[in-house]
Amino acid sequence: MLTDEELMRAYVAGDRMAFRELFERYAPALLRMARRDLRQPEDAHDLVQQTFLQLHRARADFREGARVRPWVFTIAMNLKRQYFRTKGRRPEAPLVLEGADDPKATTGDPETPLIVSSVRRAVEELPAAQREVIELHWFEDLPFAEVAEVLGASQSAVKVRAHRGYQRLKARLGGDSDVTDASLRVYANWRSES
Amino acid sequence: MTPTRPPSPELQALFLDFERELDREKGLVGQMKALPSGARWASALAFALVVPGYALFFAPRPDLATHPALPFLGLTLLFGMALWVALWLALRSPERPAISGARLGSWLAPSALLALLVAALPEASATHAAAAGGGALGFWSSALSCFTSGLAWGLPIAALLAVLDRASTAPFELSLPSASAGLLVGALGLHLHCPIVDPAHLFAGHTGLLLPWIALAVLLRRRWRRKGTSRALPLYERP
Repeated sequence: MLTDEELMRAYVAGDRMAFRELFERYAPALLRMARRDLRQPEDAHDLVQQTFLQLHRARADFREGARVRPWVFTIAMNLKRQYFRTKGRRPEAPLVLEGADDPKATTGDPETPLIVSSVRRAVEELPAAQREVIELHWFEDLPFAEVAEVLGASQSAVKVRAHRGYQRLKARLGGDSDVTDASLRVYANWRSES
Repeated sequence: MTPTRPPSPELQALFLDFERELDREKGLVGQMKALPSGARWASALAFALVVPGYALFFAPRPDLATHPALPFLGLTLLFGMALWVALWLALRSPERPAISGARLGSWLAPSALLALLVAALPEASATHAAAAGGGALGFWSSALSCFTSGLAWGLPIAALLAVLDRASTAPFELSLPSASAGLLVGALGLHLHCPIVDPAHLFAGHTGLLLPWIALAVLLRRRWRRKGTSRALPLYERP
């Protein structure tokens, strides 16, 4: 299987199908992120489209050593910030948990919807700088080096934000590290499945 | 990152939409946005230097030979640095982390405003005998002449930067850095061309350029906001 970087290089060389493959790899995660934060489905679709459009525009700058994933997430994060700057407000916690009534998302532990709901609210109450790090590192599985690249901060600054964000989440979720870790894992699984 | 399941109908529809968007990018504007950054920089820089170059070599201010060198060069350098900052911000690629609005303002405002305000100070240019005090024309005529020239000189570079801006979500979106570059190119051209050193003229005809550029940026932004930047078709409307 080709790596993301090989696909991007193939696209730069003119292989249009390579971009479709990249779209299929990244669009689900981007759509999940956008739908969770932007609420309006058409705004979430627009963010995904704009992310790939800007990736397409920047393709000539893709050089040896560049990595696709930080590019994709940087563009998406920039667009998300631009969206909220235009709308003039931060994301709001929904009154009804999207997907909680989806049988696929709630099979297994009956407490899952409750855990998901509380983690989601706790995450949304974090300051933006900490929330971005937590989302990218915990939920999108980006290593700290890539999170730092996406946010334009040093790795140590990103780690400090992650630690502070985690401490806040822990306090909000009951004060126990094991419970917090388990809740975050449940939430991450729910996000990837919903 | 690998796909864990086949793409959903929603994602397939989204990709079809995106392909239509890509087809629209085949036009000249799309091709210019997709130029390598080096080429975008070179074309923007060349374009930005046309007006100052023309003013300096073909229509220099008549008092240039007797103008005190230090304030003249210092002010030209100040304008040049502010223009460089504006170009750098305007051409910043979207795969680079965004600069917050506050930081953008803190970089642009001091450089651009300082250059404009210093240029309007009498001390910057009125210390030599050959300077044209109030100009041969009346106050309003000369101020209006400089105002319209400065505006016209700045428009092409602002338009080019709007076209080269990869992060724009509308076909022609005038960002704050692009508008600042237009303002600075116009003001720099006037600084190199106009010998009038009357502070009232400098404020009305040169520094006054701030107003139309701010108005233009605000109006264009409002227009796009009202029209909405969302170009994705809502799925419920899909045939």
